[in-house]
Amino acid sequence: MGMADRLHEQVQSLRRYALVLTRNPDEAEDLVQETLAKAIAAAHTWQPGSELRPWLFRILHNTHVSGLRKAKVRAEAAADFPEPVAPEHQLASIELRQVLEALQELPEAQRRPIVLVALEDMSYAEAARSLDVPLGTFMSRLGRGRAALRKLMGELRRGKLNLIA
Amino acid sequence: MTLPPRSETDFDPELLAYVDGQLGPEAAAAVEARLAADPDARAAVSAWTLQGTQIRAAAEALDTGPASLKTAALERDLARALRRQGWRARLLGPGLRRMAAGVVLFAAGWGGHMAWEAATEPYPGYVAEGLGAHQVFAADRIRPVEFSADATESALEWVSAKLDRKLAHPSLDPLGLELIGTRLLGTREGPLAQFIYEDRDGHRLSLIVAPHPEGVPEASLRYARANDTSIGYWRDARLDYAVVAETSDLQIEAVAEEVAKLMAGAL
Repeated sequence: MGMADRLHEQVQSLRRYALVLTRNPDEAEDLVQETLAKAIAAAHTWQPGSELRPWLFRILHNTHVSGLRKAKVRAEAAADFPEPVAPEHQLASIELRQVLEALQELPEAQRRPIVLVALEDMSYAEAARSLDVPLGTFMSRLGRGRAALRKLMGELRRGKLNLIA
Repeated sequence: MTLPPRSETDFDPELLAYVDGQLGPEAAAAVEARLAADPDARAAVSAWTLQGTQIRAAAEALDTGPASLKTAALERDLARALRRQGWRARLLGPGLRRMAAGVVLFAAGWGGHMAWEAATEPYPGYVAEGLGAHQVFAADRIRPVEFSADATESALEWVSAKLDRKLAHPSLDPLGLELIGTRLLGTREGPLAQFIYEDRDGHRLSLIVAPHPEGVPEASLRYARANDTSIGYWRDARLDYAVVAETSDLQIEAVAEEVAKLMAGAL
């Protein structure tokens, strides 16, 4: 497979991942574009012959972290602004909306391993590299995150929690 | 003896790895045996599996609409940057000495699996002239050049004057290609300079340089093929270039990159 095809596949992966992380198509597209722009500037750090995917995901994660920081500053500056309508409300299935809402309740450090493994079908080693954390840390975050998500989903189903207005 | 906490299965690495298909067949079978006897573990496995399914479904549902044009353009730029990085690493990496022999021109056999085909796309006139010059002179074992490699240095000024463009000495030593010499050609398209190189196996490559005509846009590297011969050609503001050899596009690209760098240094 040529570089263009290989990269195209990876960009599709980045997009899907960004969609679940941001839950907003515009934000996801921005995140992917910013990731690609950074990757172009950092192309010399890629080791030819090594896997593209963990390299790209690492860049996406760093980009996302700084984006979250910016968003936090913006949110604090404009605390009175109404919440924008979350686009997952457009999702037809209540179940899918719930899983995204519940994911949103998790700390970022637990959300990422769960989504990465669900969407990208990565080995744990590759996923840990993509997140730039040791394998043990990755697995304990994945485990804790899944437990927390399971609890949240259970409470949603039993109607104890009502995340969706 | 203390019982493990209820949440123990949530941290059980084997169970996690089982759900994500990370275990070998034997380890997976061991987990399955455990699951048969442990309803809590079974519940955890099915809950986690469902999470994954739902997240995938949500991603698919959110993924509407094609990627934006801007994303596609960035993707193309990145592909180009990574290809270039591939070359740079191969040319400048720790294996430089060995890779210096890197550009190896395959005289025959390269196109062996390809059916004969004419040039794959129409190319500019100077490229056609350059291809002709390559076919006539590069293969000439007796007198391929007007000026030997040693004489090229001093001939360069004269060649530059004929082309009305200042040329840098186009040494491709870093690629393991030895300059044989140069010749100046008068063609229907105007004057062309041809530099001929040889790899360590004696296969030859031509670099064609022509003055860039006024009013013609610049053009980035494109490829054409005539029979077994690969041609890479591009235009910058001062000069038009063609690299001709019986080799792969990848090799041509390495040479093109080096030439572009050298000639930019002549300014």
